[in-house]
Amino acid sequence: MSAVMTSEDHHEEHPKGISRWLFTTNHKDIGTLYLVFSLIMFFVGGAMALVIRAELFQPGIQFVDPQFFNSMTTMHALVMIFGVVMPAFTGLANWLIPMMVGGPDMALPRMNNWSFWILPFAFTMLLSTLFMDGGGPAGGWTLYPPLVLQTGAAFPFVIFAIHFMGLSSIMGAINVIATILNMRAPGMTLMKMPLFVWTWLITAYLLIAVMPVLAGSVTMLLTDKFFGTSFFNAAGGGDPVMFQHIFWFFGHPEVYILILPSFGVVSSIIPTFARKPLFGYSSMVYATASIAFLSFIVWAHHMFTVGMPLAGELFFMLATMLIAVPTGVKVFNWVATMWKGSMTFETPMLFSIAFIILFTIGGFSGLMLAITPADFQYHDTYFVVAHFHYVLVPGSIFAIIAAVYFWLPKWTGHMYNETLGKAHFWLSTIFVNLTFFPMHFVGLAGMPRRIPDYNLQFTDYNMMATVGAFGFGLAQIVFVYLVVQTIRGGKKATDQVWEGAEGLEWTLPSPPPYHSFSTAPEIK
Amino acid sequence: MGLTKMKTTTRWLVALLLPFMVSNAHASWSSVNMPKGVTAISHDVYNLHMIILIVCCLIGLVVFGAIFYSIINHRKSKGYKAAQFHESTTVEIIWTVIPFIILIGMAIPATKTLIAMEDTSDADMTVQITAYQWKWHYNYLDHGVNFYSTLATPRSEIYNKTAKSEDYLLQVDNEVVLPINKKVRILLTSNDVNHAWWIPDLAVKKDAIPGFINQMWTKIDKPGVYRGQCAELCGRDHGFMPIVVRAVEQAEFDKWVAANNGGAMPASASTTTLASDTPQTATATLASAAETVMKQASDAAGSVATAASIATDNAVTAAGATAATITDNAKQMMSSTTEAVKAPVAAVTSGADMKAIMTKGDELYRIHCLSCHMANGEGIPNVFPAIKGSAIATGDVNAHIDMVLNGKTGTAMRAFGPQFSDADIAAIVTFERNAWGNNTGDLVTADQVKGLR
Amino acid sequence: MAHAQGSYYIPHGSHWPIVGSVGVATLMVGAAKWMNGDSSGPAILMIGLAITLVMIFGWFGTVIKESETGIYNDQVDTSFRWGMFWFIFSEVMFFAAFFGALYYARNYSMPWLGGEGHGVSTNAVLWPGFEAVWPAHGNGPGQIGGEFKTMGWAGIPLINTLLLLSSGVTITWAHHALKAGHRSQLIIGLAMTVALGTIFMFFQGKEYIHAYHELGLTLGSGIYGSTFFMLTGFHGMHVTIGAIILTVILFRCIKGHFNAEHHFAFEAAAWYWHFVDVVWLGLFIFVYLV
Ligand code: HEA
Ligand code: HEA
Ligand code: HEC
Ligand code: CUA
Ligand SMILES: [Cu+2]
Repeated sequence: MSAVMTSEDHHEEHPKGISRWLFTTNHKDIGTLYLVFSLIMFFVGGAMALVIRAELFQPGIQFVDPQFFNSMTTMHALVMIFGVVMPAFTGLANWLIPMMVGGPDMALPRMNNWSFWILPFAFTMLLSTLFMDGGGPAGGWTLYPPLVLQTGAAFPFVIFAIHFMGLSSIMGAINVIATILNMRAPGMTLMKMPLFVWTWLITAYLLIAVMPVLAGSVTMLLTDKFFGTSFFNAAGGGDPVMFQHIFWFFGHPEVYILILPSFGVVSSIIPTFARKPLFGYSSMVYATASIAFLSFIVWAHHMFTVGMPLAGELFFMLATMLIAVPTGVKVFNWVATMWKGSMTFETPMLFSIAFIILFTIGGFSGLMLAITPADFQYHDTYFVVAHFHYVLVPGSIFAIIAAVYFWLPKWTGHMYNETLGKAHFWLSTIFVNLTFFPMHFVGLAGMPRRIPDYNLQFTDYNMMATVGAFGFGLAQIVFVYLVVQTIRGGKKATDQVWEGAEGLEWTLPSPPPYHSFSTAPEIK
Repeated sequence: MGLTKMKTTTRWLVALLLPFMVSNAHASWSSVNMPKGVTAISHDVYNLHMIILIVCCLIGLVVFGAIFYSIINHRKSKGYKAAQFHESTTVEIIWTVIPFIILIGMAIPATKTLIAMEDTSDADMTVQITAYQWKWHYNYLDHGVNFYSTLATPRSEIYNKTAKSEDYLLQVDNEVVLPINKKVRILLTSNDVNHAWWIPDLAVKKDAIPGFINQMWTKIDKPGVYRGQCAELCGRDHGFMPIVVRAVEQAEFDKWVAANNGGAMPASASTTTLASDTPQTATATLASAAETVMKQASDAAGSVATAASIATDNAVTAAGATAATITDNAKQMMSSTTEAVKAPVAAVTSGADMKAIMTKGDELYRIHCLSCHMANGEGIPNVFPAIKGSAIATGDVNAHIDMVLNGKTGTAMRAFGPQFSDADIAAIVTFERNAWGNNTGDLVTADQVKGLR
Repeated sequence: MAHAQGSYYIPHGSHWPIVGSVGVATLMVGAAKWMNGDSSGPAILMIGLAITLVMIFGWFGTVIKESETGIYNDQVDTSFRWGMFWFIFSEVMFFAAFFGALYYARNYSMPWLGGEGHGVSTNAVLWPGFEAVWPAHGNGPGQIGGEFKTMGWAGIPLINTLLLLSSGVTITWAHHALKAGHRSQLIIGLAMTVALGTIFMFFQGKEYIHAYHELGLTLGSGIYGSTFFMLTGFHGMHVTIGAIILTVILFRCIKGHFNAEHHFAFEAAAWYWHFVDVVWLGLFIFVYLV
C-alpha cells in the first residue's frame, strides 16, 4: 500500500467550479455536499415545523387548512429523517471514516458520488408534491393505509421518492461497510477503531437490512392503489395492520439508525475534553451491537393499540424494555469517562453533555412508552411527540452539531468563534426544552398528535412550545453564520486542534490533503 | 375562556421549573399529568404510570447528579488532573444487572394490568362502534339502539368567529350513554380508514381497523361526562372527531334506552324535523329483522352471541370494508330495513316545496359532505372532486343519486344509502344540483331514490 | 500511467452518476404520471429509461475498460466483493418483505378473518360464513377478483425448479473452466446458463398466461393473487436482470476478457445468479408447495 493512484496521472489537481461538485469522487467533497444538503433540508423541514407550531399557537384554525396541516406534519417528518439526519450522518461518515481508519478514500468512490446525487433529485420529487393537485401526502410519515391511499396525484411520486432515497441509503451503507472492512491501514484492527467507526458499521448493517423492507412495503402500497392487489385490504384477505408490521420492522431499526452514529460522535468528544480515555471501550461496542440486535425484535411497540394477541403485546413490551440495559451501559460509560477527568467546556463538549442528559430524558419517556398498558394512554398523544423529539432534536441533531464544531477546525483549517458557539449552545438548549418539555404535559393531559386544533385546556403549553420553536429556529441562524464565518477565515487551527484529541484524523494537517492517507499510517 | 391570567402565569412557571423541580406540582396537576380516571383499570394504569415515572426520575437524579458533580469538580480550570482509569468489568456488570432488576420490577405490575385489560369475557352488555370519516356510529346490540355521533362545536367557533366554549371540539350531537358498574364490551371497527376510540378517563384506547373487529371493555365507577377524541390520524378532520360518554345510573340508562328504543336515532338534530316519525315507524320491522339476524349470527358465532349486529350496521360495515360484494346476509337485512323506512317518508317529500328541501339538503350537506367536498362545493382538487359544476351533479340525475346511495368502492366516497332515508338523500341531491350555480332546477323525490335502491 | 501493484485506484470525477440520477428520476416521474393517468407518462418514462440505459452502458463500459487495463489491485477487488455481497443481502431483505406478507396473510390475517383466535367477532359480525381455507379462499371474504383456481406445483413450477437448479450447475462448471483456463468450456457453460434462464422465463410467461386465461388467477385475486404475482413477478424480474448480466459476461468471455485470477465480474454475476436460484427455491416451497 504505497501511493494512491488517480487517473489524473498523480497530479493532485482536481476540477474547479461546478463540475468539481457534480462529478466528484472525493470523500471530502462528497462529505461536504451531504452536510450542506442536510443543512438546507433542516431549514426546509424546520420551516414546516414552524408552520405546524404557528397553527398550534392558539386553539381554532388560524392559518392553514387541516389537510395542509397534515401534509406539513408528514413532510416535516420525512424531510427531517431522510433529508436531514441520515444525510448528515452519511456526510460525517464520508469526511471521517477514511481518515479515522487510515485509508485514502471511500472504497467505492464513484458509487459514493451517486449516493449523494440521488438525494437532490429524490427530494425535489418529494417536495414538488406539495404543489400538485390534492396537495402533498397527508397520512403521516408512517404512511398507514387505507388513509394514505386517499392521497391525490402526489401518491406515486411520494412512493418513488422513497424508493430513490432508499437506493441512496443502501449504496451509502454498502460503501461504509466496504470502506471499514477493506480500507483500514495495516494494524488498525477492528477493536482499535474509533467508536464513531464502530457505530457507523453497525448502522450500515441496519440500513441494508431495513431500507429494502421499507421499499417493499411502499411497493405494496403502490400496487394496492394502482394494480388491484389486496395486501392491506381485509375484503381480499389482507390486513391494514400488516402494513404497520412491515413498516415498523423497518421503522424501529430506523430510529436507531438515527441515533447510533450520534453515540459514536459523543464517544469521541467526551474523552477529548475530559482528557481521559473512553471508559469501557469494548463494552461500548457490545452495547451498540446489542441495541442493534434488539432493534429487530421490538417493532410492534409502535402498534400496541392495533389489537394484537396478548402474547404479542407481552413479548414486544418485554423486548423493548430490554433496550434500556445496553443504552444504560452507554450512558454510564460516558459518565464514568467524565468522572475524574480534567474537563473543559468548549462548544462541542457542551453539546455532548446536553446530548447525554436530554437524550436520557427522551430514553426514559421511551421506556415509559414501552409499558404496554401505559402506552394505551400515551399512544398517539403529544407525550409520544415529546419522546421522539427529545431523542431526535437534542439527541441526533445536537450530536450532529457537536460533531460539526468538533471537526470544523480540522475540515476548514480555521478555529470557529467560541463565543458565538457558546451563545448558540445556550440558546438552543433553553429553547429546545421550552419547545418540547411542555409537550409531555399536554400529551399526558390528553392532547392527541396530528391535530391542527385543540381544546382550550391545552393552550398555555402549546403557546410555550411555539415560542420555543421559533426561538430554537432563530438560534440556528447563529449556527449558519458561524459556520460560514469559519469557512471563510479565522484563527489557524493546529493539526491536533484540541489538547486531548486522539485518533488518526488529528495527525493529518488542518485542512487535510485531498487524498487523506496516500501512504498508510503506522498504527501503534 | 375560563382561564384566568393568574393561572396562565402559574402554568408558565410550572413548565419552566418542572424540569428542575419535580415536586412543585399542585398548581394545575390535572393539566400536566395523566388523569386518574374513573375505572379500576384507569387507576391501575395511573399507578403504573406514576411508578415508572418516579423510577425514571430517581435514576435520572442519580445519573444527572453524577454528571453535574463531575462537571463542577473535575474541571481543568480548577486544576483537576485527569485520572487514567478506563475499564472495569465489575462496574460494567453492576450497571448491567441493576437496571435489569429495576426493569423486572416494572414488568410485573405491567403484565398484570395488561392481562386484566385484555379480558373481555363476562360482559353485561355490548356496544358495537363503527368509525367513519369523521363520525362514530354506535350500536347497542342488546338494546336495539343505534345512532351516529358527530362534532357539535359550530364552525364559527373553529374559525374564530365566535367565542370558544369550555368543551370546544369535545362536544357531540349524540352522546354515548352507558350504565355505571356494568362491564361494557365494545366491538370496534371502521368503515373507511383507521381510527382509534379513546377516552382518557376510562383508560381505553383501541384502533378501529376496517374489515376487522377489535374488542375492549370498560366498567365505569362514577356517573359523569367523559370526553375523548379519535386518536389515529384519519384524514382532514381527524382533529374534529370527538367522543363523549355519559355514564349514568342503571335506572336512568334504562329510561334512555326506552326513549330511544329500537330505533335509529337521527344522524343529526336537523334530520328530526322532516323525518321525525320515521324511526318509530321503522322500529317494529327493524327490531324483528334484527332479532332474526341476531339469532342466525349467534348460531354461527357460538361463543360471541351478542356479536351479531343489527341490520343497518352490518350492511354499512360490510360495504365499507371496500368489499366488492356485500354478504348475502347483510343484503337481505338492508332491504328489509329500508323497506320499512321508505313508505312514510315519500308522502312527506312529495308535498314539500323546493325551498324547504334545499334548506334541509344544505343542512345535511354541511354535516355529512362538507368535510370533503367543501363549503363552496369545490372539493380539494384531485382528492375530493368538486360538486360545483361537476359532470355528475349537473348531468344524469340517476347517476348522481346512485353515487350518493352506493358511493364508489375503493374511494373515500362511501355508500350513504344505508345511513339516510330516501327523503334525506333526495334533499341532499336536490341541494347539490341547485347550489353554487348548479342550476339544474331538478327536484329529486324520495320515490326516485327508492327506485334506485 | 503507473500500474503499481498495491496502490488503491481512486477514479477521478465521473459524470455517470449524475446522468443516472437524471435518468432514473425521469423514469420515475414518467411512471408516476402514467399511474395518474397522465398521457405524457409513457413518453417520459421511455426517455428516462433511455437515459438510464446510456448511463448503465457508459458506467459499466468505463469500469470494464479500467479493469482490462489492470489498474484494479486486489484491494479494489475486495471492495467490489464486499459491495456485491451486501448488495445481494439487501435484495434478500427486499424479498423478505414479500415473504413476510405471505407469512402474515396465511398465518394471521386470513385465519382471523375466518374466525380463529381473536378473530371470532371479526368473522361473526363482519364476514359471517367466511371460511379461511388457503389457498382456495385466498381471495378473502370479499371474494376479491372472483373465483380462481390455484397454481399447482407439479407442472411448470417443477420444471422451472429443475431448470434453475441445473443452471446453477452449469454456471459452476463454467467457473471451474475459467479457473482452469478452458475458455471454450467456459463459454459453453455460460451460454447454457443463459439459455436455461431464458427457458425459465419463457415458461413463466406461459404460466402467467395460463393463470390469467384459464385459472382466473390474477394480480387482483385477493391476497393469494397479490402475493403469488408479486413474489414470482419480482423474482422473474431478477431472473431477467441476471440473464442480461450473464449475457454481458458471456460476450466479455468471447472477447477474451478475464483470466484465471482476475474475474470478479464473472463471480459477481454468478453470485447474483445463485441468489436468484435460492429465492426461487423459497418460492417453490412457500408459494407453490405448502
Ligand atoms: C433517535 C430516535 C429514537 C430513539 C433512540 C428511541 C429510543 C426508544 N424508544 Fe422511541 N420513538 C422514536 C424515536 C426514537 N426512540 C420515534 C421517531 C417514535 C415515533 C414514531 C411515530 O409514531 O411517528 C418513537 C416512538 C416510540 C414508541 C411508540 C409510542 C407510541 O406510538 O405509542 C415506543 C414504545 O415503546 C418507544 C420506545 C423507545 C424506547 C424504549 C427507546 C430506548 O432505546 C431508550 C433507551 C434509553 C434509556 C432508557 C435511557 C438511558 C438508560 C439508563 C440511564 C439506564 C437505566 C434506565 C432504566 C432502567 C429505566 N418509542
Ligand atoms: C430528526 C427528526 C426531527 C426533527 C429534527 C424535528 C424538529 C422539530 N419538530 Fe418534529 N417531527 C418529527 C421529526 C423531527 N422533528 C417526526 C418523525 C414527527 C412525526 C410526524 C408524523 O406525525 O407523521 C414530527 C412531528 C412534529 C410535530 C407534531 C405534529 C403533529 O402531530 O401534527 C411538531 C409539533 O410541534 C413538531 C415540531 C418540531 C419542531 C418545532 C422542531 C424543531 O426542532 C425544528 C427547528 C428548526 C427550525 C425552526 C428551522 C430553522 C430556522 C428557520 C427556518 C429560519 C427561520 C426561523 C425563524 C423565523 C424563527 N414535529
Ligand atoms: C370522506 C370523504 C367524502 C365525504 C364525507 C363525501 N364524499 Fe362525495 N366523494 C368523495 C370522493 C373521494 C369522491 C370521488 C370518487 C371517485 O373517485 O369518483 C366523491 C364523489 C362524489 C360525487 C361525484 C362527483 C363527480 O362529479 O365526480 C358526488 C355527487 C358526491 N361525492 C356527493 C357526496 C355527498 C352528497 C356527500 C354527503 C352525503 C358526500 N359526497 C360525502 C369523498 C367524500
Ligand atoms: Cu378518526 Cu382520527
Ligand atoms: Cu420504536
